[in-house]
Amino acid sequence: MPKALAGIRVVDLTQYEAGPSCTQMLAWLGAEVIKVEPPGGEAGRTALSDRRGEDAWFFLLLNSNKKGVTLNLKTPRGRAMFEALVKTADVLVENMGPGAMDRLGLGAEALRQLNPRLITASVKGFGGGGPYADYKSFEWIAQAMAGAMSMTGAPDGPPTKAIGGLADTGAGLHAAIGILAALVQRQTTGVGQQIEVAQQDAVVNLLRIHLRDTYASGRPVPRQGNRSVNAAPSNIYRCRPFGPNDYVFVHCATVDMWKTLTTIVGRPELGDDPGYADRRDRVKFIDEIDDMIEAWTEKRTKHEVLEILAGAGVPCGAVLDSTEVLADPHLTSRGMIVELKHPTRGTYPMPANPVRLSDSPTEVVRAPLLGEHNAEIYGTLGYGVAELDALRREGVI
Amino acid sequence: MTERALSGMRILDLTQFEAGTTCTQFLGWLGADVVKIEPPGGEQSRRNRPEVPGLDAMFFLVFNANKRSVTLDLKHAEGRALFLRMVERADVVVENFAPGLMERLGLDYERLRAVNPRIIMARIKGFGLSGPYHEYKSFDMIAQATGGVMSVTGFPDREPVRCGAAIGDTGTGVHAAAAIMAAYIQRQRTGEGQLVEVAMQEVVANFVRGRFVDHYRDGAPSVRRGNDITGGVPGGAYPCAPGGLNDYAYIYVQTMNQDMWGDFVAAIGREDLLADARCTDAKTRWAHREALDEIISAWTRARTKHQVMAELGKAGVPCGAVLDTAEILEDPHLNARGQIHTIEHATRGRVRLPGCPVRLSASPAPTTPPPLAGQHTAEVLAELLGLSTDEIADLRARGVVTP
Repeated sequence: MPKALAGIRVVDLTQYEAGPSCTQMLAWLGAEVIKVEPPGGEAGRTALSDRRGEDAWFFLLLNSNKKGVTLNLKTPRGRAMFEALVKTADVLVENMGPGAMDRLGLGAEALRQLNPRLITASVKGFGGGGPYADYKSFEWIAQAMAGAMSMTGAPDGPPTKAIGGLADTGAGLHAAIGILAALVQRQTTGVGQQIEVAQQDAVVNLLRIHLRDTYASGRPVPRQGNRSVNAAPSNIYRCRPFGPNDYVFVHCATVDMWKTLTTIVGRPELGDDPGYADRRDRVKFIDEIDDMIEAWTEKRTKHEVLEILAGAGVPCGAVLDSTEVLADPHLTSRGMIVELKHPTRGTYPMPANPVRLSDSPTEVVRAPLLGEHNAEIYGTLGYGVAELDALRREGVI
Repeated sequence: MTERALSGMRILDLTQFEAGTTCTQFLGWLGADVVKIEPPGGEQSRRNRPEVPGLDAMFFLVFNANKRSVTLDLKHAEGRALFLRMVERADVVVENFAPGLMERLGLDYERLRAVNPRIIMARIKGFGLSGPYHEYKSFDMIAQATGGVMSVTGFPDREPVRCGAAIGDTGTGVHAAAAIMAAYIQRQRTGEGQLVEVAMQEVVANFVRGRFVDHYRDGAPSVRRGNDITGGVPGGAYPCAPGGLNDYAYIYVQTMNQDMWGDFVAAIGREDLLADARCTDAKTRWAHREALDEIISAWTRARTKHQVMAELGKAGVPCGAVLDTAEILEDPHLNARGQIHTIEHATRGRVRLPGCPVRLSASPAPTTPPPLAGQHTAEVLAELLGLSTDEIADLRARGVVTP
């Protein structure tokens, strides 16, 4: 099977989400990703598990299509094996705390002395340089510091965190872009380079659209819950049977969408009323419009509403919960949710690769067990069975 | 011209609004030659709530730096023919039109491949090119609803809430940029282009996958938990002086890290809590979270969010001030790192824009001003297709290109 990144070897020193999401994407695109973990496993595998001794679901979701090896970087033998591995690699990705790689003697320049073609990528909270460089970060800290939290939540409520990996997976994806660009550049220059992504920068990039209101007014973008100050209707509406996620989101951008909607909900005269033609003018009638739509949606389930409105060309989305996403007929029919089999966890549905390349299909392979590929990978570096046994006894792998 | 990562890659950019424009802007920062092909009068988002009538909207400016602009009428047969001649000389075409539009124009992937087998065509859609929802229209919040992020954002006793950041739109553009470069790398081995497809719903599911853990553990949907981190004290947004809408600091002491708790109580001058039975470990702190959050809030309320962040940050405790959008543009860290770029726009003058969010040591990414509609029409037609001034004047006279 052809793969876009066939022949690219990635040494993966990542943990938790911001790094693993990057290397998982590279693996889906066909790179050989070798996840190097300390002998006890990376923290995302162990500390976040719901069952002692069992790989965390969190880990399984972010480490598919990788090979797993263990290595104690703090022993001289482990260090030598790591250097041998780096010499065979194209890319190294890490998301350790600020300064940790330098303390290990594995800073970008030291690594490139071993292998001048090596592309090194670091995912950090705030990035080097600047007053926050040494501050620790993780998802919610970066959401706070990039403006995302200030614009999420109800107008009468506090700033609210968005429960998606904006900063973690977001920064990981940005790092993947940097790495891919550097691979292209290396074909001209023959040498690697250093990539840096700060979570704060990545989240600012994801919300740059909202800065426009600040440019216009000089003021912060307010929290608006689900409503928009620029368009009506643009909100969620309750549906049967009124569970916590029985809602649809409806947004009318054009006058045609508005006309279709008013016809469907039985108020065609509003569709023809010039006072309601512009989405911004309709904001004046926002309460009336929201009531009108909800009176119609609350007689139906969100899936019925989705089919009727979206089917008629009115932008509409059912608010799917995580269980519904994993079973969604559209996602499953497209192969975005795949079923994986794990030796200890059994069978489970897994969100697959959201980018499709016609000549580089992604077959999702479950995350590796701890050290599952030690023999295979170290074998390619010339380590025999007896030697690996000895290294295992010494706690190097 | 400075050598950059994607120097030599030429992109024909048919994108509009956000999900596509953000993709091609990213590739522009990385060095690609992005030729934005716009209908006469310009792409719609130039007029999307222009703050000053007649000038390009800020919406357009934040997504269209580092591009050239050509206006070309694709509804005109001759316009389509010119476009296909440009495809012969391009590496990538990106589009995010409504479902079916490129097919109606006769510009689907098969057609493009027929004129240039090396072309990479990236198609950004709400629900993709197949499956039961593929004809449905989408926007950022529609993708957020159907991708699962809305169901877990917000407070337990309240309705689902959209995430402020545009992970459905810009998030999708970022994924598309990665896919395009992967296809470009593959082409260097195979000599052939391919079709790249990215769906907004799927991108949101990719962002939120880490929060599906509850489903796997309990078989039940992940629930809304507001700002709390289950088991973490402190773990949430704490109110700061002077009590404005965004005067909060988000603080999290990792539950498994008892040393970090020690650093935290030292920083807030409450070492006495080390001997407090409520604070033996993360479990006992969680059991007494209301009383402890009150103690923590009393300390944060006496300080601004910037003071709280500086004091805790220096003590090694993860803490972030809740910055609003106005503060982002002023943020000393982003500015010290050169992340906020100032450009000189032809009609708007000096504008500050967030720059390229990825730093490559050998590929600098300055931000150049977003082009006016059709600013580079003559330049690009001459450069790519070798058209003479007279030929371009003739096309202009017949309305195939503007201005």
